[in-house]
Amino acid sequence: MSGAEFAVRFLLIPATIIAIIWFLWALPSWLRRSSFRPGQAWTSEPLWVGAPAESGAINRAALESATPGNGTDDRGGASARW
Amino acid sequence: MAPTIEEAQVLAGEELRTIDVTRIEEAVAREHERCGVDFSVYVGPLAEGRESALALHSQFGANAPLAVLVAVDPGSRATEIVTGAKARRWVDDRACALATLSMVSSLSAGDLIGGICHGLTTLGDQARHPSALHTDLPE
Repeated sequence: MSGAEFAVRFLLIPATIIAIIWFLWALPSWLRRSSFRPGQAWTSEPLWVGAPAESGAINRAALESATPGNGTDDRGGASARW
Repeated sequence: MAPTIEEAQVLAGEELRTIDVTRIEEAVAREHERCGVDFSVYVGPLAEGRESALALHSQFGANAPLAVLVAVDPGSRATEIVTGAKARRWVDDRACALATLSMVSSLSAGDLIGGICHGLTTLGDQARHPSALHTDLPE
């Protein structure tokens, strides 16, 4: 067995198989991961899934002035930063 | 009435791909099916932090007491959960704190969509309750 044949049979072919397995393993997480990374500036319009049907658009005046609205005391929730 | 996948209103969000938005829509619809709570997800700037999240929640108007808003500000790395007065019966503050913990673990790893979906799943798990016949309908 020549040196080139040895390299192909015992190094190149196993390395190729390992690379293919690694690619197939990593592909789903690449597809799931969004293109946006937290910490980047959010430059486009906000996304709101399940927005109030009657509003049709985000009430920017209320958002920017941060008017909490009625019933603030009865509401709950939690806050976190990362 | 919580939105279904078809009814869910989606406002812009060019930083996210269509598949990302679809995952959030599916999670919102799935958790509503599981526990009956009206979940909503906002991703964008929250200039005043929690006050901004409360202002968004107020836009639900008459539906606000039954609504649960999950708001994420990726730019300032902050997340807020606001529960309506009636929704707190099933999603209490401890459940919200648990959900924010599960969200932060993914968000800090850079997985924005995964963090939102994990948070919704945690809230849905905590909000599950046995249906009481004839008395479980929203007012």
